[in-house]
Amino acid sequence: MPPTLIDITGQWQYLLAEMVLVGGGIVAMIVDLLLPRRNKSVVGYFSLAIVLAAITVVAVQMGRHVGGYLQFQYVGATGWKNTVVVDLFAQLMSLIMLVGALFVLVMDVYDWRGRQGYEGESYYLILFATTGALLMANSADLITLFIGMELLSLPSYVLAGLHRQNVKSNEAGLKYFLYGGLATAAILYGMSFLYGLSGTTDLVAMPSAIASQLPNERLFFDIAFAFLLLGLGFKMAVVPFHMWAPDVYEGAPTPVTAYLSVVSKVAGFAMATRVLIVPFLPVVAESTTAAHTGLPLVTILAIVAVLSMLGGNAAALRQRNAKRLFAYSSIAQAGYVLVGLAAMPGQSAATAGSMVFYLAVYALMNVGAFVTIEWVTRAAGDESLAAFAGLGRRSPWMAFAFTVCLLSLGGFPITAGFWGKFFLFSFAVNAQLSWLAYAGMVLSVISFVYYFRFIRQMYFVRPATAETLQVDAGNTVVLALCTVGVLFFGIVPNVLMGPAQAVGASFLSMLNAVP
Amino acid sequence: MIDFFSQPTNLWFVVIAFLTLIASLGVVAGEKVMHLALNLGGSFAGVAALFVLLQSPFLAIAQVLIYVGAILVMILFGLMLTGAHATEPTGVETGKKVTVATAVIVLTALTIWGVYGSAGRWPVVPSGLDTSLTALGQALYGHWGVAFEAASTLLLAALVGAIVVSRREDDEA
Amino acid sequence: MDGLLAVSWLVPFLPLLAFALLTLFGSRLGQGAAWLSILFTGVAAVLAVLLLSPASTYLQDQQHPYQWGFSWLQIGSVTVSLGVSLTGLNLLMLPIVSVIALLVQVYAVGYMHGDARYPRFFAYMSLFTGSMLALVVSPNFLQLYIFWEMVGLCSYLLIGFWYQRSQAAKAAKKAFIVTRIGDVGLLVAIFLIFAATGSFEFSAVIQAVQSRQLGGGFVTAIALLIFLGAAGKSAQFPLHVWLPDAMEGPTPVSALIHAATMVAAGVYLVALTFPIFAASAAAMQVVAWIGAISAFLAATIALAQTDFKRVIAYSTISQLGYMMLGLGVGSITAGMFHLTTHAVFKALLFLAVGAVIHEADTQELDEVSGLWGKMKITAITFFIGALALSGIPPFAGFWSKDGILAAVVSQGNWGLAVLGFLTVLLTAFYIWRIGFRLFFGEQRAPHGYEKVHEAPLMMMVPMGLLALGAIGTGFFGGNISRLLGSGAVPEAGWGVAILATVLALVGIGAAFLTYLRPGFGEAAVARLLGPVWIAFKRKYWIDEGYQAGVVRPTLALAAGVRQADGNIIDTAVESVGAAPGAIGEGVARAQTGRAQTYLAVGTIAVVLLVIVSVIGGSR
Repeated sequence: MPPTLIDITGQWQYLLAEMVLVGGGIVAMIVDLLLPRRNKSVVGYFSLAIVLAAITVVAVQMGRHVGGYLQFQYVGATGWKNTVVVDLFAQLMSLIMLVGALFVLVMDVYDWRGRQGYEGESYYLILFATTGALLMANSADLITLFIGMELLSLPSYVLAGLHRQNVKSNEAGLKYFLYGGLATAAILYGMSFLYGLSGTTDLVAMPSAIASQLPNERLFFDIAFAFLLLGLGFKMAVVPFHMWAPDVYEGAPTPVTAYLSVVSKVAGFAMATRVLIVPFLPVVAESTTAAHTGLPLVTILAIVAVLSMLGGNAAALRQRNAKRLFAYSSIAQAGYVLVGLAAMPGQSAATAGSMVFYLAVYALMNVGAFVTIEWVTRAAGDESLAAFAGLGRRSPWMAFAFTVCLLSLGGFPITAGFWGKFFLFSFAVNAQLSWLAYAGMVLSVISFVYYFRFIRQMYFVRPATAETLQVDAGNTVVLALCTVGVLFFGIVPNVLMGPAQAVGASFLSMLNAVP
Repeated sequence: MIDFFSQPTNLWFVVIAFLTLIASLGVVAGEKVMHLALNLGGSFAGVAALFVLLQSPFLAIAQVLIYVGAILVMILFGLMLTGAHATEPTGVETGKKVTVATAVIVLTALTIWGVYGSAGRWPVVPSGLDTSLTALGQALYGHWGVAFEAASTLLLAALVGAIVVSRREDDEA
Repeated sequence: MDGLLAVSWLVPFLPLLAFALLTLFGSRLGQGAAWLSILFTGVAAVLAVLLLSPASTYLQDQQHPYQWGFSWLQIGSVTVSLGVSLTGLNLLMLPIVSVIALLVQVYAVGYMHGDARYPRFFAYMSLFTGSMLALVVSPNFLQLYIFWEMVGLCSYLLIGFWYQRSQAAKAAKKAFIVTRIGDVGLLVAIFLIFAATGSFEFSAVIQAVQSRQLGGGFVTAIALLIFLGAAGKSAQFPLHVWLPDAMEGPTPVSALIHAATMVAAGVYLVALTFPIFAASAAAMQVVAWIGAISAFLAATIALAQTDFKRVIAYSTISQLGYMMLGLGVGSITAGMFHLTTHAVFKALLFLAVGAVIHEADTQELDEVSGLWGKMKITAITFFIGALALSGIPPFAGFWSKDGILAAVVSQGNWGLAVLGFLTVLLTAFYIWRIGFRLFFGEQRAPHGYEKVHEAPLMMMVPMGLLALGAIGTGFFGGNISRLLGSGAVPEAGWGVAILATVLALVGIGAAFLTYLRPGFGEAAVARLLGPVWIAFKRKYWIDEGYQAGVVRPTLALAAGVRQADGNIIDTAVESVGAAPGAIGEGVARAQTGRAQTYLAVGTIAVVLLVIVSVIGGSR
């Protein structure tokens, strides 16, 4: 007899965070319908509480070492099929994305002040999208993974175009949708290849199936990778699949831009790890180090990483619009993480940890930067770099926080960003990808030039107005948390790197799990 | 090659797939909106026929009912009511068309090469799967229960999105 | 005794603590900020001096340096610690850095008086002092690199301290970016070392080199990459361009960071990793030649500059070149001895011209002269510094420079020796040119000669103490060589000493004839040298070369990539298909047309990736 839903109730706790988010989203939707127009921020605060609850769920489960698989048995077939996996990787990635979503919601509540429009919708769409993002991190099945990705994407398209009065926002929504459509199709096509090769959609059963096929089917794998990468590259915003990003980042409301550059991107990396890397780890484990650096996926990922670091950093040099500049900056940052992704087949255990570390730090520093950008550009009514003139005197603490985030993005010591790059690059060296690490180090020097443009504006240029910038309590807390986090993990990186290093081990346990 | 076509199912597959592709190309390349819609119908029907070939009559029926019966009819209604029958200029330059077409052809060639090169080595095993409605239901609410629930959330979000995109705000005009 | 060793971590920690306190409470302290900073640095300096004896005893008894630290992070099986290592080299650097930092901070009390951001200045100075001290006690490459970057940041902040001048902001950025180029070299070297030895500890790395575990081209590559970092920090040719511009910062900053300590960090780094260099003859040659070329080139440029603070900056580049030369010919003792004396007399020179700048409010030689009548004490301290710099016995510079020249001569490389001796002549000429023009001749100053008078006491005291140092430190060569344990100060008989002294005297005499004798002046020299003088004056057009060769191409690349998300790819996509009609339409392209391009680029990229990986995979 196949188990019914009732039989596996005990396992549903693996999806508790997602259920909290969806349930909260639905309640928020109903509340939104009942509320008069001017009180919509209540929905925002409610959504904040929901995300906090989800964070608590994940944290408590981590504390209790909850982990395992949500499994079902198929009619007429033998064995169990995995649907969802809760491992350390999923939990840490979920935490990063939830914290990112929390910060974005705080930004969003402020962003709607003095604005008319779809305020309530924006809050619960973020909740739905975050549900999808979480599913992308903890799916153990291609179908579930795909639906999760769509659940993240569709609300994102709408969110990007949510400022209906703004032509640029509308355009952003449309462009994002068009490119997203192609990405979805490509991923689905690539997944069909993987299914064709392995005969299963189960990510746990896939590795052994693939290991037996890979030697004969190189071209087939190359094509599957390329298609998957087209779709995932869109989500991660890496060159050459980045072209939507500058337009969309510039046009979308700033909190949504922050959401796309943090939560969406982290989810893309989570999914890339699950479908591009983990299924191929056993193949790699059997081959020698020299052999697997020639693996198609390593070659492809390394090329894309270099292109992203080069293109993102070089294009950002000439930008005058702060949000557009940060679009290119985020592209370059994704390039650094790709270095880790490319090194993972060679150095799985430690590199996975360094990627998680970098993404956590990236979320903090990028949200911190976007909070500042949001406040400064809105107050000035100007998105150019000149809006930051004299911020050091108008609002010293904010300028300090922004400076810390910028230095961290550039990888300056004593900030967490330094360690992030340090770990990524040192594991790349260990994985016989030294050239990639050195390319990353050299290219990251360029980034200081444009990050220092902000610092120059803030400290070395006279402000246009003398009035101080008043920031509301919520955003102050977010900015402070980001800054303190960046400094804290910069001074004692082991606090985060310690647990993160266990991530790779959780992959290996997944591989050893009996399907 | 000859082995491949000696099985009638394979022959049917090639014919139906070819027709579906022609119809899909018509959707992408056509000029008149009404023609596009009709080509879309052809494409949907082709997919339904493929499901029949795969011994999944229920999916075939669902495909016809939902895509042809509901979605296509909705599109046709929309076209008639809004009167959007004007010819849309495609606005894509020849050079771009040629480049993209080349890329697509190369990609297709590579894919065919990849698939054909390995076709002989893949064991063709009868799935032995029960394609009855009961089995389908149990798969949906069992193995893919999470995906199913997530999909329903996705539809909800899509609904909200559709409203946001299409509704004209009172204070917008 | 050991109790003192156990608190050695306080030396870098105290100034860092002062920075934290000043950041939090600085604005409330006002003038008191300076005294807080001086107090903490002072205690650190006293501690650094007191540590000398017990730590060197420990070094001799135990045959390994005193180490203190705690585990900072764990990467796989490698533990990286944060802590203190008291080797001979570190023990020498600690008093140099802390004592000069203390004196310069006292001086700054007078110099920065009345500045709107007075507490901020001292906060940055404390941060710099602490970071520099933490750098020199590092037991491993990672800690060194982190504080290496931190001192770079402090340098950036302090060069740009007077950001109201647009030149200052530009100079700050230039300094940061140029030194970072060198820093990448250092970082890459650190990664290479880590990949090869699995450790960041200096001792482990040096052991690996000495046991021939690492060797050949690999060691040369590491050494050269380390030297790239050192050359950036120590402003060696061709990465020297940032240091003269850095003179936009307040003069105490120039004295502390850009003369005595931070710029010497490059020399310190080469000395620290000397076994790596010693294992590669090629790397040693590069160090020696770059050092000699920097020494000579910078000295020639210094001849023709009219901004007297910049002259001293070029002099710093030149003297750092000497130190590199000393290391390059194999003598750590000579290089580090010169580092010590130079720190003292160059700080003195900066403080003396700082006093002039403070009073006369200009850095241009053409605007101020004849100050002897008004600033006798300043003039005397300046000339003591000038004597030390030119290498006239018994002043400090003579002894240490003699050591370097002796090492060069005994190695027998005549090219290097010629450059070294020529630079002695040039050095004496340019520094006395400044001295004679500033303090003698027509009595004038931009805001009226009568308003000029001696600087306040707070500035004079450190100058006096450094002047004593500029006379006395030359006699400590023996102590330094014992502390370092790297051999005696090189000697090559009387010949070298006499030749160097004569050359220096000739330089002084030439400067005297040119500037103090009527009828013969700089114009005559310029006429005599013709285009050569112009090359000196224009600094060999190196800045212009960078602008044309590096900056513009980079910006052009950036512009190109930026265009790529606009029209170029669009155009490229079209032109591949060779559509003649596309060009006209390109201008009027609708926004949605771009979205199609984006999709096209994605598709084409997939095709290319498949092809590339097929080719790459079939190797």
